[in-house]
Amino acid sequence: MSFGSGGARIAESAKARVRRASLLRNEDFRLLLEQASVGDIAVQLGKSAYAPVLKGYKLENMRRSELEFLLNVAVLTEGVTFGHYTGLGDRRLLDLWLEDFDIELLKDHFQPHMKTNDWSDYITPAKMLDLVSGFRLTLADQEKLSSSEALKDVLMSVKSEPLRTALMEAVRGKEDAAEGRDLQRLTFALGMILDRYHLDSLYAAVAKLGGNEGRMMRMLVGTRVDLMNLYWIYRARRFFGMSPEESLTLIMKSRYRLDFSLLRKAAFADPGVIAASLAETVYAHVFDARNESPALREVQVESNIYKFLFAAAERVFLSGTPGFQNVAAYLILKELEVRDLVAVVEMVRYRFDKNRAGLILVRTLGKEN
Amino acid sequence: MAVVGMAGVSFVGPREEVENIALALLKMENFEPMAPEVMMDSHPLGSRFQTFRGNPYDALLEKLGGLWTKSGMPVPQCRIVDRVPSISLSELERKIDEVTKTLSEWSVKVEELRSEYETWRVMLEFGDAVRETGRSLSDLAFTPYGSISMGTLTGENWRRLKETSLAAPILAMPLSGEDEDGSDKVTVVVFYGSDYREEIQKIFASVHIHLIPVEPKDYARYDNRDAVCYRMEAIEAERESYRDMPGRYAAENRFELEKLYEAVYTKQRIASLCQLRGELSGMTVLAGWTPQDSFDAVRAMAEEKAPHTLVLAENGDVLEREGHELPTLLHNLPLVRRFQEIVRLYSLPSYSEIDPTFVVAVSFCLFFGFMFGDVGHGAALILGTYFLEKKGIMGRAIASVMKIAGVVSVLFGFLYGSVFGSEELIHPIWLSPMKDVNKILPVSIGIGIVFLTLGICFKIWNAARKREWGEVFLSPEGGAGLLFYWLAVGQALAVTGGNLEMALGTGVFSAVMGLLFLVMIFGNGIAKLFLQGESVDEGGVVHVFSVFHAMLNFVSNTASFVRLAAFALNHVGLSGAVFMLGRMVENAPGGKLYHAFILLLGHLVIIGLEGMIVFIQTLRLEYYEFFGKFYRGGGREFAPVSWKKTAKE
Repeated sequence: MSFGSGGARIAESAKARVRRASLLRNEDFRLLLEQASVGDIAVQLGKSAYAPVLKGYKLENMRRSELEFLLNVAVLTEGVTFGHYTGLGDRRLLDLWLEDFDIELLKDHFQPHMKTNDWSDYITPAKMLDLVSGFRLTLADQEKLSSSEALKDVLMSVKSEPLRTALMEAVRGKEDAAEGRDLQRLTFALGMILDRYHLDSLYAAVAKLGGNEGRMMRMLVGTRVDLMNLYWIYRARRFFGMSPEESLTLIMKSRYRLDFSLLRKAAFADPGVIAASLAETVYAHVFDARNESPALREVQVESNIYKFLFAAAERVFLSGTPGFQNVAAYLILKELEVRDLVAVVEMVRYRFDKNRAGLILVRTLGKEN
Repeated sequence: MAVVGMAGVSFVGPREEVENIALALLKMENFEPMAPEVMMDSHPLGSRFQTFRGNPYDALLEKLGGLWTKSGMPVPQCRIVDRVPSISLSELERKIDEVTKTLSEWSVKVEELRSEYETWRVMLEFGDAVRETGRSLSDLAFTPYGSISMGTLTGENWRRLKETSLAAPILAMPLSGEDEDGSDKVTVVVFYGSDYREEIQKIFASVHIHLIPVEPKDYARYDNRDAVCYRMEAIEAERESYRDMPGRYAAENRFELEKLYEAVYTKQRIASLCQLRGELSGMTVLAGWTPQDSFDAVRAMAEEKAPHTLVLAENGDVLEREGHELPTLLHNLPLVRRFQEIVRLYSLPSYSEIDPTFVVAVSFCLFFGFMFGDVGHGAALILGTYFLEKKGIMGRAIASVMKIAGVVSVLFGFLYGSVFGSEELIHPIWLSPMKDVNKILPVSIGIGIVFLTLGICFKIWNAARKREWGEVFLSPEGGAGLLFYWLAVGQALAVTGGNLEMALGTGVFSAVMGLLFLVMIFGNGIAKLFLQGESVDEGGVVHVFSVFHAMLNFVSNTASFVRLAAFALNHVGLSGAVFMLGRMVENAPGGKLYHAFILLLGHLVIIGLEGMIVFIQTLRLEYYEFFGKFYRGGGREFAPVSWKKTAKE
C-alpha cells in the first residue's frame, strides 16, 4: 500500500465514521411516525441530513413515490461524495457498489414498456432520470436510456455486453409480453439477471482484496449474497410455486458461507420450515419467523434479512482498520435507513398500525414500539 | 479579439415562409434557436402563442439511416437544397414504412433460415456425439421412458443449468462452446425421464435456453452426416442470397431512396432549427440568437424569402440586462484563435466577460519560450507534435498550440544562444540563463508584475461594465488594491535599489499605502455610504480576512513568476547533466555508442518530460495567477444549427 493510497483510505474511513454519526436517531424515527401525512414527513426530513436532496421541492405537497425516490437518491449522492477521497482501486469498487442504483433505475424502465397503467401515484422513469441527470450512470448509457421508447432500447442502453446478451436472451421470443402473468414473469426474469450480475461482479471484485479489508468486504458482500440466494429460493418456493430444482436456477454463482449442497438442502426443504434446514448455519434464525399472522411472518423474514445485514455493517465499525469496508458499511447503514424511512412513509400513507413498526423496521426503536 | 455581440431575432409569419427562412438560416450557419418566450414575453403576443418542442423527423431519419445501413450502403451525404420539399410528414412516414416492410420481409426470411441452419448444426453435433458411441440417432428415436432436448444458451445460463442438474433428475451435457467465455453460446443436450417433461420445461424457461424443435421421431432425417452437411450448405447459400437482397434493392432504387432521404434530411434540419417554435392562429414564431454583425444580412434574407413575415430584433445587451443567458461566440485573429482552446479548457467566458484569448496567446508564447528556450529542443518539439498529430494521438487544437510553442522556443533559443542545451554553439542575442542569473531573475519578476497588473485591470474593466463601482474603486482587486500593489512594488524596488531614503525617508509611500489599506478594509462601509448601499464583498470579519488574503496573494502571485527564470535555468542544468552523463561513459568499451544513446535518451526525456512540465507550469501561470484575478467563465458556446448534423445531434 503506497503512502498516497494509505492516506486516501484513512480519509475515506474517517469520512464514513463521521457520516455514520449523522444517521437518524431513534427519536427522529418516533417523530416521523407521529406525522399525519407524507408531506409532513418530507418537511421533517427537510430539516435533517436529507435536506440537500429535498431542496427546491414543495415538501408539504410531496407525493409518496417522489419522496421515496429522492430518499434513495440520497444514498447515491452520499456514495458519490466518497469518490473524492478514494484511490483508483477503491473508486472502481465504489462505482460497482453504486451500480445498485443503476440496476434499480433499469428495473423501473422495464415497466412503462410493458404496461400502461396510471402514473399518478408513481414517479415516471423519465422523471427519475431527470432527477439523477447530474450523476453518471456506470452500467447504462444515460442518453440512450432516457430516449428509450421500447424495451429493446432499454436493453440496448446497457453498456456491459455479457449483461446485455443475457437480458436479450431472456426477452427473445417474449417481446410481445405486455400484460398479465407473462409480463410479471419477464420483469421478474430481467430483474433477477440484473441482481445476479451486480452481486456476482461485486463479490468477484472483493474476492481479490487482501488483508483485513478483504476479509470484511467479503463478509459484507458475501452475507448479502448468501441471504439473497436463500431469499430467492424461499420466495420462489413459497410464492411462485416453483419446484426445488427450478428455484435453484435462480441463484448466483457466488458463494460465501453457503455452498451448493446447503442451498440445495434449503431448496428441497418445505418453505415453511426452511429455517430447520439451515440449522447448522448462521442464517437459521433469519427465516425463523413465528408471528401468528402468515402475512406478518413474511414481513418478519424480510426484516430479519435486513437486520442481519445491519448487524454485519455495524460489526465493521468495531474494527479500527481503515479501508473501503468502512465506506461500504456506511452505505449499507444509509441504505437500510432509507428502507426504514420508506417503510415509515408507507405506514403513514396507508395508516398501518404503528405499534407494528418494530416488526417492519430494521432498527429497534425501543420499548414504546 | 472579443466576445461577439449578439442580437435576439424573432420571425413571425406563415409556416411556409418561416420554413423558407429556416432553410436559408441553415446555409448561413449563424442562428441558434431559443425559446420564443424569451424575446416575446414583453410583447402583446407573448402570452398567446402555443410553444412546441421536439423534432418529429428525428425518428424518421434514424429509421431511414438504419435502412441504408441494413442494405450495406453508406448513408448518403445530402447537399444543401434550394427549396423546402413540399411532401408532408404523413406521406414521408408512409413511404418509409413501405420500404421498411419490403426490407423486413427479407430480414424475417434471413432469420428463419438462420434458425433452420441452427437446428441442422445442433443435430449435426448431436449426431456426431452419438455416432462416437457407436450408435445412430435413429436408435434414440423410440425411447419410451426417456426424453431428449437440445438447445443453445449463454455460458452463464449453462453454468446454472449444470448446477441445477446436480439436484434434478436430468443429465445435461455440452456439445460445443463450453470452454468459451460467458457471452458465447453453449450447445447442450439434456436427457430426462418422460415423467419429468413438465418440470424440465420450467427449468428451461428459467435458464433461457433456445430449444431446437426436433422431435425424436424425426431423428432419422439427421442420420446421414453428408446429407446434413449438404443441407446446411444449401441453407447457408439461400441465406446469403436473401442477405444480399436489401443491397440489391437499394442499388436498383438508389435514385428514389436518395430523394426520399434528402427530403427527410431537409425536413429534419429545418425542424431542428425550428424545434423551439411557437404557433399562434396559423402563424409560426421562430426566435433565436444571431451575431449582431450578421443581423443585417439575416433581415435582408428574410425580406427576400418571406415578404409576409414580421422580423423583430432586440439588442443582446438589453436582453442580458433583463437576466437572459446569452451564448458566447469568440472572434479572434487566426493565429490567436488557436489559443481559444486554452481558454476553453478552463471555461468559456460568459457573454458579458472580457475575452482573454489575445493576452493568453501572447503570454503563453512568452512564458513557454522563456522557460524552454532552445533552438534544437524547440525544433524537435515541432517535429514531435507534427508526428503525434498525424498519428491522431494529439488533437488538432492542442497540436496547433504546441507547434506555436515550439516556434517560440526556437526564437528564445536564439535569444539564449542555446542549441540542445549547449550554449557554446551560437552566441546569445540577449542573455545566457546560466551566466546571467542576476539579469533573468528580475526580468521574470517584472513580467509577473505586468501580468498581474493586467489581470487586475481586466477585473476592474469587468466590474465597470457591470457598474459595480465598489468593486472598481474599493476592493483589494480593484483600483485601491492595484494602487497599493504598485506602491508596494515601488517600495520594494527602492529598497533593492539601495534608495532607502526614497523608500522609507519621506514616509509618503507608507502613509498612502496605509490609507489605501484602510480604504480596502472599510470598503464595504464606504460603498454603503456613497454607492447606494452596494457591498464590495461579504461583510464583517470575512471581508477583513479577504483583504489580508488578497495582500498575501499579491506577494505569492508575484513570487510565483520566479519559476520563469527557475525553469530556464533548469533547462540548461538538465541538458548539462545529460552531456556530463554522456561524457562519463565515453571511455568505456563501445563508449561512443553509449554516449550517443545517453544523449538521445536524455534529450528525449528533456523534450517529453520537461516540455510537459513547462506546458503545465505555463497553464498554471495563466489559470491561477492571471485568470484567478478576474475570470469567472461559465459561458455557453454559441451553437448555430447548420445543414450538417453535429455529433451531439
